[in-house]
Amino acid sequence: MFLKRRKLIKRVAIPVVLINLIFLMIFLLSGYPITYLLIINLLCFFFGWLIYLVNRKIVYLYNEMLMVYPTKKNYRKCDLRNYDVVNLGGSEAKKLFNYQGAQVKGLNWAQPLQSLKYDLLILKNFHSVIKKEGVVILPISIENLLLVKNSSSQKTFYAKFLDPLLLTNDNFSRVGKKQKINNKYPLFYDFSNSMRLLLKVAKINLKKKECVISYPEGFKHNSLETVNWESEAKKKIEIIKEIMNFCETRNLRFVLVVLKYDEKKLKQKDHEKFCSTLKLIKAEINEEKVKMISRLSHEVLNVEGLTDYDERTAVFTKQLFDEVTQK
Amino acid sequence: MILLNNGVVMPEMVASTNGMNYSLLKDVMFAGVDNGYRAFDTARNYNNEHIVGDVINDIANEKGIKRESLFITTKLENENQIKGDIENQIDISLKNLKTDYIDLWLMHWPYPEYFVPTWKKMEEIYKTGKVKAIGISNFRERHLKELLTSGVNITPSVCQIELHPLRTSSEMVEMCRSNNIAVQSYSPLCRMIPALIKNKTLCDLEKKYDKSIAQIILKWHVQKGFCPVFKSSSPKRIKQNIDINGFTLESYEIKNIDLLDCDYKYHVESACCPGF
Repeated sequence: MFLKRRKLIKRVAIPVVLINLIFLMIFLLSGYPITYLLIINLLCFFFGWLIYLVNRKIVYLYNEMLMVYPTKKNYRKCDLRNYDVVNLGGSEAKKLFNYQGAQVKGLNWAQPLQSLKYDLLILKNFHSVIKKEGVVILPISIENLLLVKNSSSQKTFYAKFLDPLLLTNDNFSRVGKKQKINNKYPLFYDFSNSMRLLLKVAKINLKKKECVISYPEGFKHNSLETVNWESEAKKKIEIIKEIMNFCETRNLRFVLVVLKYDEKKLKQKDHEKFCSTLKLIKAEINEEKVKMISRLSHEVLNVEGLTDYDERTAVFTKQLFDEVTQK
Repeated sequence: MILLNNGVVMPEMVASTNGMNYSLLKDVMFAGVDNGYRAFDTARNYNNEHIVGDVINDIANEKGIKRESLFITTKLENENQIKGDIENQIDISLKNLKTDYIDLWLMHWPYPEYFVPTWKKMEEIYKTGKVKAIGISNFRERHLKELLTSGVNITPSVCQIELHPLRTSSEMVEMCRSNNIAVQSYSPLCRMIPALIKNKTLCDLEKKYDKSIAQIILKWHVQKGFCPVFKSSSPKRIKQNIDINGFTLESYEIKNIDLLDCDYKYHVESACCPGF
């Protein structure tokens, strides 16, 4: 507490007094009324406090998002070890897998718009918390198969919890200064994403997690227009193979779950590409080694007798887990 | 004392210096040497290698204990493995520790794709005499197997792994023993989590021998031939931890403690070494 008070005096009180003194000099010299200075102070105090609260909320939201990752700090606070199952994936997987509700010892490592590249990196970073012969589910959806670009803001987000050695080969500082600032003051460092996160959470709270699995958020159906689609698909299949081999050498069971879309909701062009990519995957990946399960993601919404979103996803997760582990 | 496969003698208990500043480290290391500890473990990632060096000097100046009487371990980090300038790294460690040799130099993690070439460079440095013994840390069976089948000239002398009653790593220990590699156990007390403190087997032994649970566990380590590397910032506990000579656990008691194994890992290995 004493340290915090000292920091507060050093970082806030002293600069405020110094700035006020400078302004006071300016006001005295230029002849403006001193009451203006008081108004400026009040406004600065109000907006400063507001920015502080917003920044604090964003840090809280990020921390909440990152709770699913067993970082060194999180893991030590938790008693759970040797997880039975983890899943990777994008927006759909993030919404569909609910291990807590299903009472399964599992972790949902999906993130909105997560590409296969980051699926692999997350697995590399945290796989040691999975038990021997535990299950790694890789949900394949239109999002992670057809999305092409990884935006730079994604890297900023993943840098919050992935080892820097995974993200860059030339920066060997384990927690760089920039990253420290980003973690502490996301509002200033990464304004657009921070605001997006804030608004998104506000929107979810307003709609109370309504049972709509929409077209992947942020996914642009024309993102493939300019690239060679087949070569991109092959690159993704290579990553899937890499994830598969990674699991195999570490005694983990790899399961591909195809999350299919309701055809009517997809644009014809995207549907065709998705189906062709699936065909390529089936041709390239040995199905004897990989358990492949197809699910229509909107099936989750049609579990009879259930109206609550969390209950539905819990039923889906339990059914899928039992199927994967052949119970 | 534990005799390593190259003839070097290693004390049977090691005090860790992880995360300690100068004043704390001085208290801890001074309390350690006062109570008979001679082995100290550090690493570049602990960010206090140079402080350990300062305290080693203090020990020599104020306690009259010469460098030769101490056993200093330090480690090579993942970043160093990627950079590949292993020769420079040993010189930096020697400079930090203010010594002209290191007793035991460990590869901190088996960083994928780099750990075999790194080991070969460590072998070269071993030949120069800058380190008395080289070893590995946090290896699993598949890593050790890969290393030993990659045409290495020197078998690691020591393997330091997370090992405690809740994680006995029996397969890894067996593999190390069959290759004449001494086992150091870090987090030997698993930070005394409730699963250990409240365990009936350990509580019964605590009463029987009139020793603390920590002492019972450390005795279990020593009797099983492991070298515990423990961390304590309390001089009182440091004194207590070395006081394990007045009793011997029965073989069935050791087996009962072995049964507590549930592969409980305190640390996230892959978060320390991605792709581990």
